[in-house]
Amino acid sequence: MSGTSEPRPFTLARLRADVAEVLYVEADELADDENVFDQGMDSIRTMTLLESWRADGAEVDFTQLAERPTLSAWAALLAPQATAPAATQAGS
Amino acid sequence: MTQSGPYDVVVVGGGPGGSTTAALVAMAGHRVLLLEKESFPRHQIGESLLPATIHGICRFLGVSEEMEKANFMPKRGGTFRWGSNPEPWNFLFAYSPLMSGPTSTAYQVERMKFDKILLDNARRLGVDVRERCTAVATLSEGDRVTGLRWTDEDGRTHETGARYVVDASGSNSRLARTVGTRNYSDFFRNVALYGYYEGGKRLPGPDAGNILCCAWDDGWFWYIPLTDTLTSVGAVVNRSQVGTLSRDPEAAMAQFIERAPMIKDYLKDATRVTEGPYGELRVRKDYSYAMERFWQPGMVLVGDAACFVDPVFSTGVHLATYGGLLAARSINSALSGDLDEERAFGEFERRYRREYGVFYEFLLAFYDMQHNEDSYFWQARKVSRAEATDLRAFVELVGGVSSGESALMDLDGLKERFGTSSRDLADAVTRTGPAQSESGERMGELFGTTVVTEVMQGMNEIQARASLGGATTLEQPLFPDGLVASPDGLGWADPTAPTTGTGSVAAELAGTGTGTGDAVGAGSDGGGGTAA
Repeated sequence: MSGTSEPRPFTLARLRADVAEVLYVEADELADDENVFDQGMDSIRTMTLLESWRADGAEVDFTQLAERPTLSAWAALLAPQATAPAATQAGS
Repeated sequence: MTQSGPYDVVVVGGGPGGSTTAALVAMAGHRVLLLEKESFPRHQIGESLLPATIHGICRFLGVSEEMEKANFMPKRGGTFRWGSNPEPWNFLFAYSPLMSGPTSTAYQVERMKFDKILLDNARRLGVDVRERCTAVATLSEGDRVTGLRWTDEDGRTHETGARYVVDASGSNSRLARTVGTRNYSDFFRNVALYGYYEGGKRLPGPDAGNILCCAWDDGWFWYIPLTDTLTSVGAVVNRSQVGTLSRDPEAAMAQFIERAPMIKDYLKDATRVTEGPYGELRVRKDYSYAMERFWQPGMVLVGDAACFVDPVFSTGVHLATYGGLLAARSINSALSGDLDEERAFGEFERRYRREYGVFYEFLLAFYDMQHNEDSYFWQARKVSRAEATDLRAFVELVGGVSSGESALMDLDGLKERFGTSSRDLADAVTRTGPAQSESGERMGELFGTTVVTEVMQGMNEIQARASLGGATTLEQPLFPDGLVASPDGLGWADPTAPTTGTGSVAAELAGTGTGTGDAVGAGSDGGGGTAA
């Protein structure tokens, strides 16, 4: 779990590491474009991550994560300039 | 008279509440005696469980594997023929089909088997479990309970001293009177008549294991698939019918089924079980109540001995096991000397009452959804018709004697709040649409309502801790000066105390102002509440 005082940027690598940690797997075992729920994620774990990301300044809600549950989509959503890539995702 | 012991804690009652409390106190290294008046396995009602019990409590207790081996019927939620939509709709534990996984299901359980798994587990963890033993009275010195007088299976009387007596002896508890009086709700004074059937129909596809609840003119039916062929069927009606039910249960059941078309259809080719533990029609008073206090020095109440809401949403076992977890944390913290008793049990009582209160409010809204102008049962359960006495009762039930706010609570404001909860829930059900539809598989609307979010909060917290094996970001103090679970989950910790390097995320976040109710994203963003 993330509980550090120094917020780290929401890079794809960080999200992958955070998700890997709650799933008890190695980060390189996760596929970026596959549904995280098919890789062992569940909504309780998603909520715990969401809370830690919010504590680090993320402005995202559960519904947004739930609608596009892949690491790459989450990275796009949480990136500082989230609008452009997120819009592309939404249109697909 | 013989002196037994020595024990730190005596637990009365071997149901889920007693077993959970005893096991978690034993896990912390304390000596526990548990007295159960019957010999297990024994019949019990309350068969439909919630995910937090399975994936939170059972996992924490270490019985997940036994639960899997028991082959209980998996349920993915509840199906309701209830409210304005004539078609059944679903309340599922998974947020969406995309997100359904092993932790978004619960079980329907035969309580004979489930309760025995938990009791045997308590024994395995070192609890001295004695069946066919009856509690007689608490022993006390001044205001403090100091032990218990009880009789064993041979009728011999014992007196056992203990630092704490846990009363988990159910709705007919006599011991609980030591602690105070019981307050009843006028809103949910239901009586259930129930029995078991072989060969009843099943809901289609993935809903086959769901609990089905069907409203009809004079009440509602539960229909719980316990195995592929065995179904628990219960009619919940107004308490005024208790005489009729008891005089001729067969005739009453036949008449109720006749008046509930969906249940009648589902039982068309079924036969009622008439032998063995499931062989009789039983009557049970399902009144809603809460004790004015849940503890006193040396004694604590857990499960139906403390409070009961209503059978409709599978809350009985949840409240009992959740209360058991809270009580065990307080007992362990007080026994170890980490916290003073008042603070440790104050946290137990506030959290337990909060849980009772959020379910109570959710169920008020739930009952309010069903409209029937001509029915006394449904009219009496309309929020809009709630009178000052009903509202005051709510404040008493949820506040207990410890709440200083009771007198200040604005009853009109409360009524308005209930009305809003009720409309929000009904609207969310409408937007969700019928079961077996695309929208009907997606729970964002329902999980987005405030009442559901509030109901999910405590359950999500325990489920997250059990899945992740430690404190998570979902664990927050529930009250301004409140406590959080200790790192091992078996006690309480003060979040404002200097950290001891235990790595509790909850403790680190406690000061960041993520307030109660917001922790899981309450409000219009939706999706905050989920049990999966």
